[in-house]
Amino acid sequence: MIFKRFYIFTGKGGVGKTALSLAFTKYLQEKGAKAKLAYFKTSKLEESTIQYEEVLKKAHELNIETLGLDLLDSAQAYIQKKLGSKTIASWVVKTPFFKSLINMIPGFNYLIYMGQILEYLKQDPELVIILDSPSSGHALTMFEATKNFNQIFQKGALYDDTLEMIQLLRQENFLQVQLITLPSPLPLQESQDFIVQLREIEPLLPVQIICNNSLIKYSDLKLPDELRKKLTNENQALEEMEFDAKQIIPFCMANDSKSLVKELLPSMENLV
Amino acid sequence: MSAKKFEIFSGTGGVGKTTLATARALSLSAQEKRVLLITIDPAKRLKDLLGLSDENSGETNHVSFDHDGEELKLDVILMNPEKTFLKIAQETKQHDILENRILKILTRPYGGLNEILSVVELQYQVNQNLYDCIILDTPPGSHFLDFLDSIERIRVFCDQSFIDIFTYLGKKVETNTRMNFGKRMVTMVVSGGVKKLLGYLSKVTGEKFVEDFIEAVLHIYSTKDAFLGALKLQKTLRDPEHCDWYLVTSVEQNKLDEALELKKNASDLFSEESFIAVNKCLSESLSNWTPAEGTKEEELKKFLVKREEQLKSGLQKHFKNILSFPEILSIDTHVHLIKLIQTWQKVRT
Repeated sequence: MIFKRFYIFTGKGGVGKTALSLAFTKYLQEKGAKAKLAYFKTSKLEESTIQYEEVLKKAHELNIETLGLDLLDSAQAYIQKKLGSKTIASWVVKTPFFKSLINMIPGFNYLIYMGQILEYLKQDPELVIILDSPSSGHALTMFEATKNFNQIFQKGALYDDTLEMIQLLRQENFLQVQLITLPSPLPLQESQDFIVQLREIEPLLPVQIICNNSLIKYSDLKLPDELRKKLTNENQALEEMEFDAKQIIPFCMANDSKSLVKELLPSMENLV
Repeated sequence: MSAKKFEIFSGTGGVGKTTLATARALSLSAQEKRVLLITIDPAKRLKDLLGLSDENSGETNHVSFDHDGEELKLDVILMNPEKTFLKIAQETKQHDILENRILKILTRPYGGLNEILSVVELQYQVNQNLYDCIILDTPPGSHFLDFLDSIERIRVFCDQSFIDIFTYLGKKVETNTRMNFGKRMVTMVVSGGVKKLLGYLSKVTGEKFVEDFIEAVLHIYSTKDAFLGALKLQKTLRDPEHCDWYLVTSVEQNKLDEALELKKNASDLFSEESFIAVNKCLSESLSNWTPAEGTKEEELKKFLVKREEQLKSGLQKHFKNILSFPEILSIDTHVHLIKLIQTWQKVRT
């Protein structure tokens, strides 16, 4: 089975990105891929978040390999590579000026993170990275950051590097974006709007909508009016938007992440 | 409980937040209040329903909504970072500010200055003093703390980086803000205190970037009063007398961890007095459903009811005010809003 190199799971909060990206990484590992789940350790220059700790714990329980991305470490590594001095690099990232630059211009974070991910992928040709990205706005900022900074720099080493990043992301069979959403009309509509926005930034971006928590599996049950209506609305919206059955992940009645991931595994083949 | 001057809606995911905030704004309008809703990028269906379009983003739109025959009025601003920045630039008579390509790019809708400029827009509207209540639907897709943090970031940016540069440059900078200033600035900067740093920067980025960057910094600095003015808001937003905070979560999205993290990290703003809006509640409508024992149906009912109970009881341990909103089973956005307005009138009167 051939996998892409870089999978980004994105979507609004609470749609199941983390569970799906855990399950997907597990699936790839079981298929023999050298897959690692990447996660932003910090959203800014602070300590790691509770959510990060939670993901680490779950990944550990499931024997999933992770790759924690730290902003300052990544920035320092890059500057060190460019200037050839560890001392200068560690000094630069400690200056208030540099910290303000990163804090004031959040897109800069994403450029640094993206650069670090692509560097890992370049160094190890067998590696597959799955990124559980914080939310759709952020994912958009991340794509746009790379292009924005390419336009900002115009020439010089960083310009060349951002150009290389864009070219790498555009390579065939390199990137897959999974836009996770829920099976109600409004979230489905929003995902479609979001794809339009993404395509404005990157026309050929390989992105597919994945509809999580679908009640479809329960349609044969004797449901009360409310749930029946919910299911009808769901089906109608999915049909209107010409959803492929492959893009639909059934609702799972699991109480903990371990059993949830186990239940999700059979659906993961469709996300490759 | 009547409305406060500010109501802030937060939560990482859209899934219902903007609709809930809009319904809240309309329910206040029904109480004869002058209400402004500031939101960013609502779903197309909602925009269509309110007669909003991207072309008039950044401007105040006068919306009227048919609430079972009664006309509700509401002002809505779709956040547009570029327009907000231009607004404050005009106040300092810098009309050509967006000719700087760094600023032009950074003020694009996802350029990265969303949160900061939302705070600036809020302050701008406060200064206009046209409303009884301003509802802010915080930018979607961002961690809520980014929004809180943006206030702090304004302070750090205006303090530290400028002190670094201005200590060296002295007052000359403040008196000269002409466009071609950037180039001369580079020459000055590169021979001084920040010389080393900018020297390294230009090695990586090229000199033109450093030049444009300094110019961008100068432009932001010249509008610093607007940014720093937004700092005043911090105090108001922290004052429960003036501001209510709502965290929107839904039964489908288990946000218990997030709510607790918020409470921990932003305890002075986000307290047990804050409101938690739990959206898409199903339990009540399932209470009449009595599936036979041992069936798949029974398993499903138990699971759905338990999920909701666990979320609510977890939240109740930490927050006093939990508001339940039912899942609305209609594909018509107008019906959604009407039902949510009714729920608001029930839970907050």
